[in-house]
Amino acid sequence: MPDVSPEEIAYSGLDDEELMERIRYRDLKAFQALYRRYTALVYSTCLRVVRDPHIAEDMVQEIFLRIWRKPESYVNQRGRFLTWLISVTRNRAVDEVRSRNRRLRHESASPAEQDFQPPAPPADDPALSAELADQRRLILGALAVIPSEQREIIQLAYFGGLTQQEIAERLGQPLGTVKTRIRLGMQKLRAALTPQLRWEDR
Amino acid sequence: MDCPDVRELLDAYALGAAEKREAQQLEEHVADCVRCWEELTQAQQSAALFAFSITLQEPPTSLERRILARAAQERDAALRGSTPLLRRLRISWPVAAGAFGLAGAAALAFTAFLQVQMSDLRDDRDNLMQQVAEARVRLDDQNQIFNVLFDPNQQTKMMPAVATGSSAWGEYHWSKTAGQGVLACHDMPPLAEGEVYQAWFVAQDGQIPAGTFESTDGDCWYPMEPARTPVGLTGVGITREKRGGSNTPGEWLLFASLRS
Ligand SMILES: [Zn+2]
Repeated sequence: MPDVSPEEIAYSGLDDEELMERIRYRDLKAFQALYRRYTALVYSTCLRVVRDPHIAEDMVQEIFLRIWRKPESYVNQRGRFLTWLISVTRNRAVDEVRSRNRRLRHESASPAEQDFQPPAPPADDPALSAELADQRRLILGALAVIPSEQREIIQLAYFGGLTQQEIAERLGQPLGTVKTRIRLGMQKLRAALTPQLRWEDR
Repeated sequence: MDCPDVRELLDAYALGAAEKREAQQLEEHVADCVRCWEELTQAQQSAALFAFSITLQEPPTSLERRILARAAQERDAALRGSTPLLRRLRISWPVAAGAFGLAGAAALAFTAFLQVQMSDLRDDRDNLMQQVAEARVRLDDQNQIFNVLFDPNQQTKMMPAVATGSSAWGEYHWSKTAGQGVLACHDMPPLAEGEVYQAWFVAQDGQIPAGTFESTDGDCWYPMEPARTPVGLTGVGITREKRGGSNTPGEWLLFASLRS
């Protein structure tokens, strides 16, 4: 962000809960700070799911304005705002794809795989606060330890919006295998992140 | 669905990959089972973390402008739909804003808050803040008001009318911690065409103009510029002057001595 004023610095020093508290009082500066903190993440998640920049922008607008209009839809749990925001975003994006009735049949393992970047220090993080960038590095590192066939299925579920049954059909794998791979993959992710998960409970 | 079934399905559910019927059964179960609910929370966190794996891109900067403009517009529309009582909270902004930059750090400023009319809301800080937020307050000024209100040690000074028989009165709240404050005046004598109210700092070596402002209904709030607070401040006051302000104060309408 160019030309950061002292006031913006003050706002960027507030944590998510404090910003949400001010948003409840219709503090537009707090809203702006929240937007700047998470816009890249929300936008990229939408884009990853809907794969259309214009639709993704509209969705970012809708998601943030919904927060502005109904901040109470987020129930304050210290440190959990990010989890909530990401899941709202992902669900909204998947719904969008469904409602546009063009389920991502073309979602294949290989492009999804391309999206995953091994834990090389991400060069595309200028938009993230130092704290978020750190978290992201940890997560990329954790993802690297998940076998690719598990990671692929998780990606199809999370970003492709496919159910386990649909994934099984798509990949021509038995449903049981799909279920097992999801569980194992997520377990490994959790295990790799457990020491770092404290940030969720700040 | 019992606990082991639920545990098996949690990750798929958190990733949004459970079949609809399964998902419903799971939701029914966790509504009554605290342990599974906790596990689910964990799974949802892991799933959300997964979003971090994607390549991050910024949307165009025009999107921010669009969203903020819309948010401001909706807030203003909400204000128009609000009660006359809330509308009374409208703040009259300095006409001669040039005299007042933004910024500045510490010292004194004034807040004035909704005394009589708002007495029913007075005990409820949350309510009060919401109203301030909904009022047409310039954002920088709004922040100043918040800073003062959030300070549990904020101080209040009455500003009585100077002329006998005047029903005008004022008050300011200021926060030492925030170094900010806001001035309020009520039932001020009306302004003639081409007149404004003018705030003054009174210091040891004279009276210093502190900005002008207007009001159509005799109530106004005025955030003072802390950076301009003079050394050796002994009082603050308000006069009525020709538009554009004056260099020397006319007759005092309100005055508060700050000598301790
Ligand atoms: Zn259970």
